[in-house]
Amino acid sequence: MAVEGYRLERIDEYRWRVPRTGPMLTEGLVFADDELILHIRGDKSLQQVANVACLPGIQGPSIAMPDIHWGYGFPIGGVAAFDLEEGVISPGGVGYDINCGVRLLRSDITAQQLQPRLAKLMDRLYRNVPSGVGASRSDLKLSPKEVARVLVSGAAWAVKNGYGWPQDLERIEAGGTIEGADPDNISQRAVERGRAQVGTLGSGNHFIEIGYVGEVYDETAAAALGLFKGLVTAFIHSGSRGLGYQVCDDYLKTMLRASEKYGIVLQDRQLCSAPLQSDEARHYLAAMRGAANYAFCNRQMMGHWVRETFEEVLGQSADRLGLRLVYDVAHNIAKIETHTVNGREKKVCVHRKGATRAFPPGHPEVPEVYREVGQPIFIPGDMGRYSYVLVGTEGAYKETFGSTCHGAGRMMSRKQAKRTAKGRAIVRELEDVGILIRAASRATVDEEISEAYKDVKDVVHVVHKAGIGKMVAQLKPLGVLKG
Amino acid sequence: MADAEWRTIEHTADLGLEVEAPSLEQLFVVGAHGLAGVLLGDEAGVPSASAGRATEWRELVLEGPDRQALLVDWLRELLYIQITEGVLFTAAEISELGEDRLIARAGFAPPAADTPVERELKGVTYHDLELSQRGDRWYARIVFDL
Repeated sequence: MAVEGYRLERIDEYRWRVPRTGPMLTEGLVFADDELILHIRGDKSLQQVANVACLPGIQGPSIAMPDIHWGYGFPIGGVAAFDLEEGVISPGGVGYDINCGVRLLRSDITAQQLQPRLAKLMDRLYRNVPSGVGASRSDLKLSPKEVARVLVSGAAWAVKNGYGWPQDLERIEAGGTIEGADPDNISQRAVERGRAQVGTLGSGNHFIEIGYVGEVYDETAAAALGLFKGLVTAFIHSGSRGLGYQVCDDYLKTMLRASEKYGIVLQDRQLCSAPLQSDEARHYLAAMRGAANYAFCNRQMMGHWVRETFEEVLGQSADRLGLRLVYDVAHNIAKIETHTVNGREKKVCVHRKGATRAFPPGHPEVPEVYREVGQPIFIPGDMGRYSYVLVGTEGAYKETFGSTCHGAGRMMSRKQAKRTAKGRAIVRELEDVGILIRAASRATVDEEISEAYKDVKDVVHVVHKAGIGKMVAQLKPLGVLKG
Repeated sequence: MADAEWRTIEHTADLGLEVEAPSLEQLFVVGAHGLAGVLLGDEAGVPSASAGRATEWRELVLEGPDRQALLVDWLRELLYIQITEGVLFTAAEISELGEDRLIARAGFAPPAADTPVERELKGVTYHDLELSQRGDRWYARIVFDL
């Protein structure tokens, strides 16, 4: 049964508390302003924050970012950390799309220089990166043995096989390879689903967006990231595809049994979990890390094809175009990290479901090149407006287990979005404002209309003002490839 | 609602399915039609007696802790077959449906050329799951991750 009778009380301008009640082991902490809290109150996400607060061994509060919305089990935009001895791990706290995340490339060419070739670039991208429902590559089907290598090595597998540059690896969370992955804990079904999907975008809210730096808010940080006003960028948003979904599916079943076995009381069966010290948890962690590595590899390969497409259309090498990787960061993952809890440093298992790691300047896991400014964070908005680049802060490290928001957050159901888009030519509407759309399905475009999302500006404003992320730049879209 | 039918329900990020049928067995079958309908981008359906021209049949034996989990497993299995083999559920004959075991013969066919699969479902979740008897009818609610 879900937690009943939970309340919401204001802490300050950007923070709200869900006080402990009933079976909650800790309170909820929600980041939002007056406007966003109205949306948040409109769905069941606060209920989900309260439900997560009931899981054994939770450390600090059950946290919700300003882009929080109703998910399944955990809210989307939720962060929860668990004690390694007393706590649990939950596949529902990571989600189906394990290591769904965002990668950003920057360039030395201006939006104006690209404009005459933009349509061609978008057409070629559509051809070069498989997208859409069940997208797979006809030209690249890995053997199960090779998939196992991807699961262990992640983005490093891609680089070793000629997809991208060796220096890309130092600009990926965890270097693009999370240690501790074990293919033996991944089912044959999952491996099978992964064989022809590495290097594919997928559908839904996944995209490749060609844009440019519209505004710079922090010159020093932007310069460190290689972002300068007017220069072209490329965003890639995707995850671990069918392999990751299958891993989640397989382990939900395992965890449902485990919850009963270990006497874990569930407020929602999708929160099914196992103690971190159990075999079930160890196996899931090893499998989830493998799927996360697959996702790093997936984005690395797409990044390579984005570079190749620029080369093909602009007739210059990616190196000469300055198409460097800024960073690649996960927003659906569970990681063992060291944080300070009740004044004591300890290792905890941080679940980020629709939340981005936001480590501060000086943290050893921030690439050396960004050590002075903090870890880069990417917050994509909807396809018609803008996206943001931020850096991690000490505030995030202290208050949210080094986490911040991950996107605009849906406001409309897909059904509602389709109703809103009915009778309108969304692709044409966007073209009229200078944004070219290439999409495998019209339905996806309709479901992803701008109005379906909160204004990402409002979300980013909250995390910036609350000190759990620092605004660096705003990116504006020129062309979007949707699944 | 008609004798047996399914319809999608609103969910901010994902998509839900409501199913009603006169018996538990029919509920599972109509739920499977609902899954196929959702994949095709439909929003509601009343499976007719003619629904079910299968080109291939599969014997499925599923075990789970209870009927709710079995319903999720059943839909997961059909989804897996659709994803990996490109065929959609069209019909089923359920020979056993107990508290913890389901045995069924499920029929599949490729989608028609003019109605391709439009959606990618990531999974069938346990979230907000309901399976209950309401008077003399059975009701289920299932949430998919999109």
